[in-house]
Amino acid sequence: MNTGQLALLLLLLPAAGALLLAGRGWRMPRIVTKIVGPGVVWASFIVTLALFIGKASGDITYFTWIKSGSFVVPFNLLVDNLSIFMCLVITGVGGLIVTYAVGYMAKEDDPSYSRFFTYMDVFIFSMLLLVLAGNFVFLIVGWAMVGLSSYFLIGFWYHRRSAVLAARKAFVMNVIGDVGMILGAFVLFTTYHAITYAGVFQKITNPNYCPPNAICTLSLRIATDSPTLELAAFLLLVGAIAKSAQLPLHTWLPDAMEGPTPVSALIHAATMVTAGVYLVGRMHPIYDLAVYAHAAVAIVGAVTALFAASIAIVQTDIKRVLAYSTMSQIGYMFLAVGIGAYSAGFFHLMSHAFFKALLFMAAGNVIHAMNDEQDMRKYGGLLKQLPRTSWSFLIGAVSLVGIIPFAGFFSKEQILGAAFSKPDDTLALIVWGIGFVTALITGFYTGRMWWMSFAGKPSPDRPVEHPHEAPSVMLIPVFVLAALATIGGLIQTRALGFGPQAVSDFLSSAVGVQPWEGGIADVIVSIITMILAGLLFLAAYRLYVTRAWKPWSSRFPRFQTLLERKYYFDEIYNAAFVRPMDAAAEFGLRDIEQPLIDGVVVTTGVATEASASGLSLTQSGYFRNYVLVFLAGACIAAILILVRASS
Amino acid sequence: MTLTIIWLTPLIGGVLIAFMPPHWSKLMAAITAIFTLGIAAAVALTFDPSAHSYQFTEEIPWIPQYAIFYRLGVDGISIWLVVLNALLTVIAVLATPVSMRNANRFLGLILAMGSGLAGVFMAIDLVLFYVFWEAMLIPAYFLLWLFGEGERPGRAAVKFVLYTLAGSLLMLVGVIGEYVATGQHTFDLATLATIPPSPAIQFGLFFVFALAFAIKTPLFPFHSWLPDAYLAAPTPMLITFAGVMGKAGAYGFLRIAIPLFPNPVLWWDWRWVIPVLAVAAIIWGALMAIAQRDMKLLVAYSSVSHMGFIVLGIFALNVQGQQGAVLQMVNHGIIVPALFLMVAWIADRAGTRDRSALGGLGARMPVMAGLFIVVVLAALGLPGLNSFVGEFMTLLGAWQRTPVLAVLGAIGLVLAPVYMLRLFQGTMQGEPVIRKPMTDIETGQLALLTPLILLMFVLGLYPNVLTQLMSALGQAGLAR
Repeated sequence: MNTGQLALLLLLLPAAGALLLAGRGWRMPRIVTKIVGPGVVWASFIVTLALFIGKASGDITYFTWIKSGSFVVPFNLLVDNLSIFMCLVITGVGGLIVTYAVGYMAKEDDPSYSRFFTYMDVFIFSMLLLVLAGNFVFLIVGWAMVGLSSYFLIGFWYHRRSAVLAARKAFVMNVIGDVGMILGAFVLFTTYHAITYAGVFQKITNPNYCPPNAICTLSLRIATDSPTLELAAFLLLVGAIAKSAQLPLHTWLPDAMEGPTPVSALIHAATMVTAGVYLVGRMHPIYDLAVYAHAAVAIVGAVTALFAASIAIVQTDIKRVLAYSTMSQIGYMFLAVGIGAYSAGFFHLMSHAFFKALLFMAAGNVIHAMNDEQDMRKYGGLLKQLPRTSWSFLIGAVSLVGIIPFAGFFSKEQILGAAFSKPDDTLALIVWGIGFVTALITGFYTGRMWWMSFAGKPSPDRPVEHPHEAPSVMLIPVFVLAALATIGGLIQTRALGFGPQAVSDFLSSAVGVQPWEGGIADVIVSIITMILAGLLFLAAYRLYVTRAWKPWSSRFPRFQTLLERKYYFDEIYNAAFVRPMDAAAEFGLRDIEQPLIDGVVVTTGVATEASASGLSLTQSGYFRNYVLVFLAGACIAAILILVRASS
Repeated sequence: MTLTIIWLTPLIGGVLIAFMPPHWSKLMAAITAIFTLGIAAAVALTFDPSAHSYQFTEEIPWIPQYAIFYRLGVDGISIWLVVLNALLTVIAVLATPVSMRNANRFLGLILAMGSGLAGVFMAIDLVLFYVFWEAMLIPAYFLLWLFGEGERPGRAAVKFVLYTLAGSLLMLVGVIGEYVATGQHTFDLATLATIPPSPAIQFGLFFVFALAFAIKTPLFPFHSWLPDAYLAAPTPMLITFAGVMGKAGAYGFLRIAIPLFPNPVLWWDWRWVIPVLAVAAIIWGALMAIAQRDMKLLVAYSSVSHMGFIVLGIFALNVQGQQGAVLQMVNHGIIVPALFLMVAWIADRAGTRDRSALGGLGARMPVMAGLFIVVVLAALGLPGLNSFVGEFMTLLGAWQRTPVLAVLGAIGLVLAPVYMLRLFQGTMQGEPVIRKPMTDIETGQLALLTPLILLMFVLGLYPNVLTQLMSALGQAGLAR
């Protein structure tokens, strides 16, 4: 098969799985769901491998989706190293997670069980469409469809009110992002009269291209171009921020933890929330020229990284700690692509997918063993009872903290090193500073999570006295990810200044080569960062297990409240948007729509009725008669006037 | 003759069926409607996309001394509305319960209304257009008056008819005014488009036509007949009433107001006033839908919001906007009947239309819930389903005219999931409120819904099937 057929097959396999499960799934034996659900994802993974091994690339157009004047949208898929890289992460990590879900969701009844895998397959399809799309319209289609799958899966337990509300919140906030993307596409289309990536990028990077209504010398071109590009880049960034839960459109992600844990692992850690990073990477020709928007990406990323890490310190729900940690780590990726270190960002995307999926799934095993209790204060002492899960979790934790030789060290330190060593760039140095502080906080909150849950004595409130380890269908994917989180980073050891850089080499054809090299200074800084973060990880033991030190919060109670309320973002948004919107709607209906817009009409009507009944021989109330007379009169009047007009 | 058959068949059929025994009437009405749909589909399939003029034209002198001709014709815009009208008439007929009192009269009137609507979309003579425009009002009025639901259906009927009549009488003045002002003794739309009167006269004539169309569409702030009328209308009637009749107003803008009065500027430029009202309709309709608890009213107001997109696209005055508007007319014509049907079925089972008094129905009617979410997602413009294409194109068109319009219109995109998901989640999800047993969707109901849902996917995945016939739109001088 050629590249085009393979790419289409890759895309359509999960769609076919979803259709099958949606149509007949719950009427068939459960084993069908168990095979089809993860099976199609693995099949897609194999197709992706085929593309990877075959070094496939191409921009394949299948048919014209719509043609309207100069607005011509083909359905085309872009196969290049970036999309293959993303597909490997999506289907590889996705396959592991969906397989894990076979065990995790076993308690559900048959209809819900196949419904779950339908949604998961829809998600994989949508995410693949997002990364394979070769034009802005299908990017938006994929973009919205992953949001939809996320909506379905957050609200999977739809009888829970909190889940339903969380799902709606996620959907609406993502639509805000979609609108940003749509408007961004409008800007690009009206400027460059193209809607495919190839068409737009060719005109952006072509120094001889001149947009209509502009006077084109080279210097003028840049002057006329850049406001447009900045606008487009900022609008696309709105989409990226909403999807990746970055400030200020982040409030949906913690609530999204209402969904089942495999969903959190797949959508809200490993794949969907990293779509914003993909977007900036894919749009790098735009961001390379739009310097302000590009800087904004880095700033948003750095601030979110610090902001989310600080909230993670006080969370007690294990999944919410992981959710804030995800926001924080995606902040690092934004930081990386924001300073132009694209391949470092994508390397962290991959290693984060490994260790964060690992953490979520290990946490899922714990939650499973603890009868759905998610409060870490009620765990304690699980290390002896759930050794396999606990050690796996520890691997994910130290990877997150960034300890040699785990994957997280190499990817995170490469980002920080790139920021530290970027020449002549104050902004890069500032975001490095923020990233450095965040790394230390990460060490601390990860330590707190690990020690609270697994070390010490069992909490007296623990729901299960003697928990059981999860079944092997749930353990094996965890082990695989633990292995990847341990050795996966070795494919790119540039953070230490030597060794291979497989990811950067692979992606260089799609996102270019990072134009600067680090030196020995940032390797030393990296080692220092690791040691400090590791020490803070250990310090959490004395705070939360032996309680040798007083908790920091007793010294700053106000600050703790601020963190516990998540800087009051939910409250502010409620007061600023949700309630005013409802109030405006209510006010509009009661005080404008009914009395004014309708009132004027009714008053006129009543006045007509009154005068008509005065003239009429019949009783008022037979209003319809007047209407008929009116109607007949209209016709007669028409004919009469026509006669007059022409004679 | 083909086009004459399309409007005459349902009219004759309707008159005959009205006097048939009720238990026969549904079968006969279905045959009539399906036959009409077949003819309309045949016209669409044999339509030549490369010809940039009216096709299947018929021309018979009617009142020759006043240059009034019986002129019919279709182009890439109207053909889809004719097909949509024929399709929805079939569904409306099939959705009518046989047990309904006076079902024969009801079906006769539904067919007659479909006949008038078809005529509006096919007429290319201004007087003929006006005659069909008035004619479709009569069956609508009787349907509302005789078969309306609620406490005072008569009141809603009168309000609807008076409101629209006020507009269309003004339009009659406009028709005559146009005849006099152009002074060429013709009512032929194609000819009239080539001889616009002076801008000042255009300004006045545009106003009277636009008012009639704005009321019919309805456009903010002329929409207050709509909630009452939709609330009173029985569900089978709503399929064509909400699905097609509103489009007649939007179609009027596109077919009459813009081509005949390309430069309606005196004290101000009407071509800026209308899109501003359209944006107001988008936002206002959405806000009113958010405030509604009655599911039927919620859908009614969502309709106001969606019609705003259509008018906005038309007044983008460029190819993308206007083709998007036509797409959106078809899309909305597919989505709104499905919404009204499902809301009615859910309300039937639950015994209330108040969305806040419902909840958790999804567990007891999983198939209904699954279909309902598809329809709801189509209505809120999910990319991949049909409405997205239309909204994207209308907003793209508006952006090209002036970005402010598109940005404000996009607020409607953000508000749509708020009310649409409240509708879905309020009824299907959460804790069950009503404890009584409920049945899932019936086979007959499923059969009614299936074509609509299939179209939502087909037009979402391959909208070019519609736009490829609209190539004329860019070139025939409509988009001036």
